[in-house]
Amino acid sequence: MNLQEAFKEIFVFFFKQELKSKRTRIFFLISFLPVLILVITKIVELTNPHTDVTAAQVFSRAMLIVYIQFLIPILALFFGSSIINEEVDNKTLVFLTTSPIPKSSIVLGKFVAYVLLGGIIVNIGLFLCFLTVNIDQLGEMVYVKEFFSFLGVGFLALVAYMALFTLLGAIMKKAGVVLGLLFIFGWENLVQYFPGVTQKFTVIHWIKSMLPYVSEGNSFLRILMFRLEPSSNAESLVVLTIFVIAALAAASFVFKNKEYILSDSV
Amino acid sequence: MTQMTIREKGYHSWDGQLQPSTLQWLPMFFNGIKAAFKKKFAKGVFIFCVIPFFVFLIGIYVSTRPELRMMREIVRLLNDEPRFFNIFLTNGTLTFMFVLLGAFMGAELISQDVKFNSFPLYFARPLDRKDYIFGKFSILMFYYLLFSLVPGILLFIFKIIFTGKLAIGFNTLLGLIIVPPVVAFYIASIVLLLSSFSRSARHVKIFIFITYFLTQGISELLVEIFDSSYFHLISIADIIKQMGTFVFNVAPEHRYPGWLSLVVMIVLSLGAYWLLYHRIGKLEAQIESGN
Amino acid sequence: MKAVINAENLSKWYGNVLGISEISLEITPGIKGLLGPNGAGKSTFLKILCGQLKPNIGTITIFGETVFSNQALFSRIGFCPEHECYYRGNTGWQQVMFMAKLHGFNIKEAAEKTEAAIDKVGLLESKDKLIREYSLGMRQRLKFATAIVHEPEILLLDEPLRGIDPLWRVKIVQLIKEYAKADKTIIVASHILPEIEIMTDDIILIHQGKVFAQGDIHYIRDLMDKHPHMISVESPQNRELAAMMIDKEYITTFQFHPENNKVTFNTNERDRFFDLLNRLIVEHDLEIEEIFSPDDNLQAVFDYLVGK
Repeated sequence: MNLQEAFKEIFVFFFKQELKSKRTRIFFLISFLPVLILVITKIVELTNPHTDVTAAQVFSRAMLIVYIQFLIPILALFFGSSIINEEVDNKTLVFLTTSPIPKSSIVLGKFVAYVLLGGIIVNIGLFLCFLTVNIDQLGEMVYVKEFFSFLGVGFLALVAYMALFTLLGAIMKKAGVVLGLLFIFGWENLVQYFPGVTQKFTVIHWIKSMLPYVSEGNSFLRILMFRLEPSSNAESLVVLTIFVIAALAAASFVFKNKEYILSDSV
Repeated sequence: MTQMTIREKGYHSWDGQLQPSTLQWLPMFFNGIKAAFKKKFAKGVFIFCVIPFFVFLIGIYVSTRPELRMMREIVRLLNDEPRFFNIFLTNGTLTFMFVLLGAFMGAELISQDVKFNSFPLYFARPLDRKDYIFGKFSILMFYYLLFSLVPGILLFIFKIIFTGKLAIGFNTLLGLIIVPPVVAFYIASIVLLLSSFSRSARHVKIFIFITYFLTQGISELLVEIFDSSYFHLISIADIIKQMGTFVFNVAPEHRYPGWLSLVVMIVLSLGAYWLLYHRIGKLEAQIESGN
Repeated sequence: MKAVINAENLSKWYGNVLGISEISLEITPGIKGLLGPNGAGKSTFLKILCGQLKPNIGTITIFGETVFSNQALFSRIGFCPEHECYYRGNTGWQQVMFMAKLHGFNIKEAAEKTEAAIDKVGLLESKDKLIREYSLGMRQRLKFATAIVHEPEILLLDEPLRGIDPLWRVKIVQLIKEYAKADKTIIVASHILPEIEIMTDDIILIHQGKVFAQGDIHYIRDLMDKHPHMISVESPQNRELAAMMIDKEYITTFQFHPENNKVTFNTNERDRFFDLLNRLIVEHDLEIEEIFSPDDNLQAVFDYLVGK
């Protein structure tokens, strides 16, 4: 079977399987939490016109950052690290690797299935947030440009993070999750404050460079939204594309050549 | 002649008379402690968790050597003894380390039993669900108290040794006794409840961190939206800090009654225990029915 | 017959633990029993054969091609692993169908092959049930169906009868034998001797990572000079028979079993023993009820070889 056909079979099977899985439902719920907060804010705004905080402000300051800087990396870590490791944990890897399909099709097929699924989870949440903000002004919607920009950039962020964690998951089993969490909440949070090229060694720098800049916020939110020395959109897009291709190629290479011992350890 | 019935060979729940003993779970505790020590990165995680203790210990020492002019913030804190111990026991770093410990030690405590259908192994012995849950709790509580209660007491002892003053305030004593077990029970109940929801320890680890950071983020958002400090009750780190200020009777971190934090923590912990109790029952029934 | 599988000096370590050591084998079509106790190296060998593991030393070829990462080869190989493995949210049909599609069949062909494979293992009625609702035996049969759905030329079966009820054991063994008749190569790994015995006489005995013996079970037995053959004779005149044979140097020991009129001889030379026995029976008109060899079976051979 050639790469294209194998990729298609793997993609269809795992996309359908994952769509009905419990963890997808849980992530849908998590993705709807910001929507809930926004709905509450909107209700407060509509019932109390003198309120200080409006749904639009919350949307622009925090909702999208919650998706971009928290939910998307976590989703990517969850699914990306699972691409190979769940097959090893469940011992179903043997079914895939004893089939006459290129090994890279397994990695790529599952990757695209999970990216698509993650994209649906995030984008439905984002769309509902956007709808909630504009529910009383559908004729004159606000933050339309930001919304589409976040949809696109958010999806790109998902692809980039998932490629990284797919590679991490291919190389290591247990430590991959811990390293991924340290990367998201440690390295990426710290390094963006460092001037110069160091911040370019994060995914979030390139993502934020493509996002519309938001200057307000406080404490936790301010830390999330801060960005220093952004790169241009074109440079960010090119770097992320190259990064994704390289990470997936490396993951496929590792998967093709590595032995995975199916033991009963965690 | 009496016909002998053919007994079904296989695990079945213990139906004998349970002897009145509250320590049936003790073997699970010892086994769990030994198993945790054998983990690959155990020593690294433990060293990490002990760092706050050494920082505060050095602070105590430095306070007796004013000529050193180091760690002034901690030295200044020592003048307010309850506040010093409150910050040691409820600071965000220690709370995060407990979350890390929970992910490292606690994620697989129940998820592995779900994955490998181990419940018949437990419940075919004179153990009930309560014993099973106590056994799992005891493992996590041991480590949490090892890195909070024990260092807290040691810090107090070292403070006496270095400063030469034997007196202890009532609030400090109360705080040292109450805060560590309450925090430990609170975090352990969240970790174990999450552990019971998945067969994959890897997924549980991620969900533990999601819970920690998500509650923090949502709390901050809601505080900003509604301009109400009560939403700090949602955040794991903030509720612990506020509870600490109440017990140690120091200035509160946030603008809502500190006793509410203690009540909410206890209620949530008991609620989590109740959910866990029923969840274990459901899992046991599923395994027995062959699912 | 030309060897389909060639292993040369194959060795595999898991860190400091030896999996297999210096295994050299040529496997021709037919059923081969891979026999050994737990931890002998059977699963390691099979995993190397199906490309799950790479050997540390040595080479393994199937149809003249190396195995690891040679995905095209797997259209000709079917593997039934020892451990439980299935996609939890799927039905039996979906699982086998997926495997069939991965072997390049279009939807119609895949459906036909899936139905045939599932029917062979008796799961047609349960095909739309979720796999996690299957019993252990049903899951084992489903694994077997997954291995045969694409009608491979080589079948690698690791403990294929584990958890299967007696009725289906017979049927699965029958399936395996039918497969072998069609000139396929089947390697069945097991630590349960009777399972192997009912399938084949052609065995590979493996212990502590090494191949102890290979070939026909009786041939192996005959080669074992160190261990005398045991031959039991049941006869009312068992003592007279023993008295007539006692002076022969090739009879090393004998033992009476008074409860069933039996005498068991140990002899280094089977053929000479039987010549003598036949002559004595005819000359002295002895009444013989039964003659059998207690150790001319796999269990005995295995026990001797592993030093029990």
